[in-house]
Amino acid sequence: MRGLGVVPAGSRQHRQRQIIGWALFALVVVLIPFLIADTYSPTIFGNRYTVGLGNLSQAIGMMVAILGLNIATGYSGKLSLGHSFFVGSGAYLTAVLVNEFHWSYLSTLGVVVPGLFLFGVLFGLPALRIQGLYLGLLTFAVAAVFPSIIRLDEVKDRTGGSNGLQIESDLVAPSWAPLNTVTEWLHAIPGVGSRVPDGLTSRQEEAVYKYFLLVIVALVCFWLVRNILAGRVGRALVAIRDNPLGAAASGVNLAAYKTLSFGISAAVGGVAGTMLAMHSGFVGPDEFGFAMAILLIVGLIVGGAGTLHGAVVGGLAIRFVPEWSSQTQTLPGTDTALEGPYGTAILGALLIIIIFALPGGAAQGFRRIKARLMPVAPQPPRG
Amino acid sequence: MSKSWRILLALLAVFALVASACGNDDDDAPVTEPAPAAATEAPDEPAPATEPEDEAAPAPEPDDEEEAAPAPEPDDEEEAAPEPEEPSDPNIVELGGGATIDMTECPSEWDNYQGVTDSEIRFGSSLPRSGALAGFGTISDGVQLYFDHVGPIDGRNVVMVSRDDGYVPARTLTNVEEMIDVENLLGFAGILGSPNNLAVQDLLNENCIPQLLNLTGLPEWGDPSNYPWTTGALMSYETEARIWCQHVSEELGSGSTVAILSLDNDAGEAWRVAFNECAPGLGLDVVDEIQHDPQADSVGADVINLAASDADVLLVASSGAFCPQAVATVSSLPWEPMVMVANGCQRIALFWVPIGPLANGIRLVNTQKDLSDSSLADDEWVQFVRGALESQGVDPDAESHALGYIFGEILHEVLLDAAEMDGGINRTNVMRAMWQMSFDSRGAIGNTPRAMDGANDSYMVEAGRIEELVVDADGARYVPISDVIDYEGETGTFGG
Repeated sequence: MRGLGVVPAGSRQHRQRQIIGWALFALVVVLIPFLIADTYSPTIFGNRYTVGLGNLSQAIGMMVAILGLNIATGYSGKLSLGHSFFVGSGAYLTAVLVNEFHWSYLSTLGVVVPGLFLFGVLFGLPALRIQGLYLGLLTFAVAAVFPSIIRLDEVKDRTGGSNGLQIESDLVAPSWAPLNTVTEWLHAIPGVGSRVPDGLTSRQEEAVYKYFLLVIVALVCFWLVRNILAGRVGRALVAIRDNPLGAAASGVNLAAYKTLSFGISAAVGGVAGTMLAMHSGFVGPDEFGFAMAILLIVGLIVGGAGTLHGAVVGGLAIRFVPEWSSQTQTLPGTDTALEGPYGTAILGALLIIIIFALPGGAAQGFRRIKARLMPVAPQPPRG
Repeated sequence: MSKSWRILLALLAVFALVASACGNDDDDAPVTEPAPAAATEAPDEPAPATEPEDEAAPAPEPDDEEEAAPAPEPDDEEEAAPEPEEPSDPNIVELGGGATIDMTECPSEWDNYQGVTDSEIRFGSSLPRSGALAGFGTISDGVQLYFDHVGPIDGRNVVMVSRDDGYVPARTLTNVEEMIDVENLLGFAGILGSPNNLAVQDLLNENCIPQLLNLTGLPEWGDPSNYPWTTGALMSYETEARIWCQHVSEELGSGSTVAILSLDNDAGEAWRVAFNECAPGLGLDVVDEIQHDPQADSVGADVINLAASDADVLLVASSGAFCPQAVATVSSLPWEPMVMVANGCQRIALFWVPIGPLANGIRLVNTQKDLSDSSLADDEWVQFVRGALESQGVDPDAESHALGYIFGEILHEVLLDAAEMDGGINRTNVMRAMWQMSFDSRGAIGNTPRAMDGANDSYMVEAGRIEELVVDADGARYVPISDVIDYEGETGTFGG
């Protein structure tokens, strides 16, 4: 495979490639909701698959959830199997604040972020004493108990108990949002236009609007986390993960940074919960149980622990792979009608394959491909 | 870019986000135009009253054929397909009891004949086909098999498209959204689970899409005044608990003690709460309660804990394999309570055959016939379903296809009624037929009626009979120990 040729890191060509890469990414992010607003449904080997905006929006929420988990587990090396607790807490806080106090969805982040940060710090205190499987077990118990907490008699009037809670506010696109105008423009473009509807229905308009809101929130989260991890805090967390004794000897306050990592992780998880509530307009207790906790870990491993873009791949994987697997009714060359738990089984098989083939997750695979196609020569140290 | 500029831009972005997310609620919903009274895609045929489907109807005998038809007798015909007073506004559809559908509230792109083509009537469903409740996922397959067997309705084949949601409401929502986009559906029928149906109720009602036969007993499904596009298929959990209370009181008298093992989910909670509400009024004393995890491996330890109460009655408000587990555990203890189980644990072949004689004596509220009940071997409905499923290569005792036949029969009657209305089968006529349904279900215990009348009577299944399971050399069967307890028309409407 021939690449584009080696360019030195930080050179003009390198910067140009980066800009082109980001521009393409932005183009895809902006175009895709219009392309799948009417749900794209290709037929492959006789199976009809769907790519809908609803699933994509939920995947964005999952990306942020995995991003939060990545801070505690990927960067800090603390096995947290209870991240769904934070996601669920964020979702329910948002639902209650919107329903009972008539806050807007985004303004609830003013309570969700600091509230979950404090809770995460408290949650991180036991992590100072225990680690490994024991910590995993403790955090797993927290995930498992979340649905029962939501159903407690003392809170079920507010949380909706077992039936879940409908959020009494829809996110309707404001009149100034030019979504239909953009749709008409795109519809007129040859090639692309055939995939874009000639006008959005009110439901599709709402879905596109929600998508853009979620994308903006996700971008802010990724940007903030990237900045935190690229700085002193990130270096300290990685140092603690790789060599705690060495980190302590270098003056890193282990206790403070460990609890801080749980705090940030929980706060980001809470934001993910708010995003999922924004999308669905509904929260249910069983959505945030240990099944989600395991899915988030799967997403983390599939995407690549300790990388930011791994969270993006992980979020897409845990949302779409089970969906497409369950839509696979026949396999090529067989008459077998697939039903039942094949979706989860295929996700499990994917996990096993990735662990063997790409121990660093999809992020590692992307790095390899990128290094082959667009190699960058590291800049020699100055001086 | 300087740092201050970046901060300014960030603040502006945050302000724009908050501003855009504030104040956008339902009030901002786009104003809709009146729906087309008779869309251009309307079927050409004027909905004939008698069609070949009657010939292909399941019942082999002439009498039965008449039963399968929508209106066997003149009186019934009036009940089955009543023509409510013609409203002055053609955009208002009367459902009964003052409940209406206002078609001007439907989205501008809404089509009353969506999902009705020249050859098909298309419905969608979302059920768990994976996960702990996957056994119920074949109900929609059973509905499809029913319609495959009975043939076309109004000259069109009924098509059920179903997707797996793993009992996760967020997946139900995306399933429903995507199916609306790509499947050309008249509506949805048989979505399973209370949270799952709640997650899509607003979406479907705001978009004027039928949400029929919700497979959950939540009382909220009987609310045509606020949710005219939503109806339930099962006996309300409240009604079932009310019958339990009444039976315990009649059998054991006031002062009896009850221990409750309930599923820690929507159904278990609804049963538990409803029983606790009706018990004090009849002098029953709930002495212990345990809610068990829906994902638990076993409820044996919970039953042993409840045995310490030495209650007169053990109420197993649970479902699936938990029922036989609980009953088997009781039989191994010196505790001998009267055991009542939820109707969801009715199927003998699935739940009680595995523990054999240990299941002797359990009681439940039966609302519909069980194919594996040996006492019903000669029942016309049971023979019909068994024969049909076997001819379709499906084991009648496995999974939940047989339940699909029961709900298929109801949907069949609704479609036949809708076909007789002005405009034939379309979304509003299907809802009108649903809320005005009245027919004697051959799959129901005692052939009790399945009837509703809009906001006057918003629940379809209101009758059941207390039956006791007997397992002996003659097989396993339910023996009636009460008359049919019929609250038909008495349970009113949700919140009413």
